[in-house]
Amino acid sequence: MNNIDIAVIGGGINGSSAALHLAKSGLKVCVIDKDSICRGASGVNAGTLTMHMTRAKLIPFAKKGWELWMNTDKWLSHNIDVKQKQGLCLAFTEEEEKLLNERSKVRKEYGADIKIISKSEALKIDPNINNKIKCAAFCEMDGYVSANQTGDAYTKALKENNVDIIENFEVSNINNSNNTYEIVAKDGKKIHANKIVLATGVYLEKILKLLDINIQIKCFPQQLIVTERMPELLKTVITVAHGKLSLKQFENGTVLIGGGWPGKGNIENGYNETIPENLIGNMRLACHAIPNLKNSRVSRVWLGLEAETDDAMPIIGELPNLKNAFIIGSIHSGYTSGPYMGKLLSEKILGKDVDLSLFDIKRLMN
Amino acid sequence: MNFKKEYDTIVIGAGPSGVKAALRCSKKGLKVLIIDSNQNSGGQIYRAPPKSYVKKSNKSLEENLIQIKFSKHLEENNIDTAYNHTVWQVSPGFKINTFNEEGAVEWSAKNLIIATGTYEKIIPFEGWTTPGIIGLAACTIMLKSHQTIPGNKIILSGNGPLLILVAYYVLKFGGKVDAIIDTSSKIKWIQSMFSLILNPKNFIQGISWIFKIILSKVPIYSNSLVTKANKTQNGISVEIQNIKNKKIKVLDTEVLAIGHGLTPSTDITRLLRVDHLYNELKGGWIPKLDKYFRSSMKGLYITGDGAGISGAIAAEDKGELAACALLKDQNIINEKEFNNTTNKILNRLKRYEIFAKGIAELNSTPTSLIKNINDNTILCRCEDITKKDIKNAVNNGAKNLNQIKSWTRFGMGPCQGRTCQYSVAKVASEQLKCNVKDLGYLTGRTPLRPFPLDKAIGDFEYEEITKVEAAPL
Amino acid sequence: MNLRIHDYFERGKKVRIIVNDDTIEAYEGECLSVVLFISNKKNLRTSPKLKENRGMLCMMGSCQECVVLLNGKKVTSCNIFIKDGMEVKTGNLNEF
Repeated sequence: MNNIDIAVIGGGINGSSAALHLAKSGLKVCVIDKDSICRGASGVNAGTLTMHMTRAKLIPFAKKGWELWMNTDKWLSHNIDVKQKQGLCLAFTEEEEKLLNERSKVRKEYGADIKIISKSEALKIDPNINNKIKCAAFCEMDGYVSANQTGDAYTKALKENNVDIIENFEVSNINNSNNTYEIVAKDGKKIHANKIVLATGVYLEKILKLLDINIQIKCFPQQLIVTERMPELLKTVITVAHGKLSLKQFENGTVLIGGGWPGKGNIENGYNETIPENLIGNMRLACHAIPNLKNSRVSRVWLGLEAETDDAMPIIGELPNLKNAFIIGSIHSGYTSGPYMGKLLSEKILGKDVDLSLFDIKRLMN
Repeated sequence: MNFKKEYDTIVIGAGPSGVKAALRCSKKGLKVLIIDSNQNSGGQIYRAPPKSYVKKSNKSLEENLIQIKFSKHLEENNIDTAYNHTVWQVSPGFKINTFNEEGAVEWSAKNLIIATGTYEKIIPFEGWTTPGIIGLAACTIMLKSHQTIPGNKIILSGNGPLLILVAYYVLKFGGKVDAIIDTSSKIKWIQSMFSLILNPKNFIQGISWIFKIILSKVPIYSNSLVTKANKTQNGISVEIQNIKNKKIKVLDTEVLAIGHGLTPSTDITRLLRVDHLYNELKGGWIPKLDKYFRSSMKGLYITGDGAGISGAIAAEDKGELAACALLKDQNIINEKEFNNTTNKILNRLKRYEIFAKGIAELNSTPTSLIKNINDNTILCRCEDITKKDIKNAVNNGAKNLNQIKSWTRFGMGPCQGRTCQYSVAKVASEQLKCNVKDLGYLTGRTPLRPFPLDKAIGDFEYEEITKVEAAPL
Repeated sequence: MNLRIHDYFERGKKVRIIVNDDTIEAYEGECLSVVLFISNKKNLRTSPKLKENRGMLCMMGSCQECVVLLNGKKVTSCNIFIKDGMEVKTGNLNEF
């Protein structure tokens, strides 16, 4: 395979978004993935588009990402379910009320349009919530995407923009000579490109080692729970002050319960297992927030692996000591801002003046 | 979650193989628990009537007597029973999470024996989702366990010996069988009769069943299959076609009971990610087991029809063998005793090999049934996914069942693909011109059955919810 | 014709359950899905996309086609046993 300007290694939402924008500018791009694209965290996460759980410093980026999600027909494809919903972040105890006030204030400072509202105001917005709340934080800019459709949607968009999608290609080596990168697969296949972007999510630590760069990427197995189809149980997207609950009801009536409760899993053997106590803890929190959720039944549980750096901030930008090599990943609550971050990186690669200093990988290196 | 109880061995499934395995383990001093989602022991084949039914002294059904014996033996041997418990999660090591009417329970054991039996396969046809169409196994359960005839008029369809049993019971109970639609021929009935006889000595009984059916002048359409069904004012109209001469006939009835053989239940083994292999004659995907029913996971044994279909009598012996393997692996019996006991059982099992052909008939699916599925027929009932949807996914590049599931949502509903996985695999393999086994099987997922949230959460105080660190700001 | 066979077993006491707006007589401890089936209540739920009527299929707790609302909660009716006064809703359950 020749004449590739940029090879994006890792076809999740970060890599695929970068690839899409690079391709739109006329470059010849390929996306490489060890599986089918968007089958990692991008395809199995809760799909929440919220400011309530976004890291404060990332709010400006999440807002831009939210805008992109609400207008997918302009850049992605028509076939992905995105819904704007109002978002309520609940506080049940005095301690949580304090936490909510503090955190909402900081998030507001970074540009999120969040305001603290009373119990009665919250119940008017969503009568389904537990009337034992102390207060809530409200944001109009919230909602969700059906994450399992990401792969299908990006595949279509990438193909429409002439991007080669090379799946089932597990990278075992990256060689750099004569200003060309040679990407070698486990089965011996080779791809040559002038530039590379590493976007392999939880496998970033592994792939960086191939380039002699050593940083730690933590890998968290998170459980997600979906119920059977139910009549209307909630009108809004629900989160809680300490960030350990996300609740949404899709158009088809199923309710998705998340919040980062851990299961068991690692990147080595792919085996994963739910931890029943954590499932039950997550469900208790969910039923406390929306009491009528008790009438439903869990239909499916699955696990996804979330990547996180030591300081829980993204890595986006140039790789040090290498020409034409870039990286994007470990974006906390990354699904919301992924499309925008990918766009930013693509602009950086195209030589535009983009400030990615907040995300410089050098901060994590010794 | 409620109390945790620890056992040496837990057996999931109180059918013939599970009961025999539990008894053998218990007799050697192990602390054993047997779990079943039904109200009583017996599994599906000897399924007990509801607890509220009181036996009349003068008359008995043979299956009921066997079930009563099982329960008596379990009690005599101090084996703990957790009936009405639905298993929703099994973890290696082993932890078993169940729920019942009271709430959620966690059990643990060093060793686990899975004896969860089979499901019935029903190959889709146009209109098969019409209410009033039930499985042949479902019909059997209604008759033998619930002592209820499904309808005043009933048509039975499918392959092999279960047709005879169901027809016999409907007639015995005073119901009317409008027709029997058999995909195979009458001659095959005699051949496959062996597989359903509870006791080989009762071959005569089996023949008498066939005679009763013939004497009742029940119309029997051999070499035929159901092509379509529609709801009518009083019931269902059933269109049938003769496979050989293609002649079509329409029959009216109240209830249609249809079934196309059994397939082993692999929910738990797929969840635990043990190795599986595909064997069409044994019912489809089965766990990879050694001669003594050890799986690829240490301490885990799979027995009964869930290890490959061979019938109820063989199931008892298979349960005994698995228990022997467990006892040897735990050093409770030595090599000599193990060999003596297992050789005897293996010799007994050999005798059933003459019935093996009949049992294979019970489970192999005629290709005519698959060819009969048209593009608009629903395959996945939970999510309304049609044959056309599956074909589209395959055309778009889906190469295995998990990928087809991801792209179409088949298997993502409450039944997790139990009802449709077999048919989808057959349809996809036909299109891809590959073997069914090349498509793999659906990855097992928690929960094994829909898990009611009210049972999961129980009563709790907000403060009790496991304190997890707040997410970073 | 009475579809219940009384030759071998005596059933529990006679009770009443409410299905949508109808009162149905049954015996305590009988299986709910069986009672619904023989009481002309074969339509139990509605399929998600095509809105087809669906009813009991496997009687083994596997297929989930017999799901109804029992006292407000979703249950697999083939594993539920009749108690006096049960309130059952069938049909398009997502509209309740």
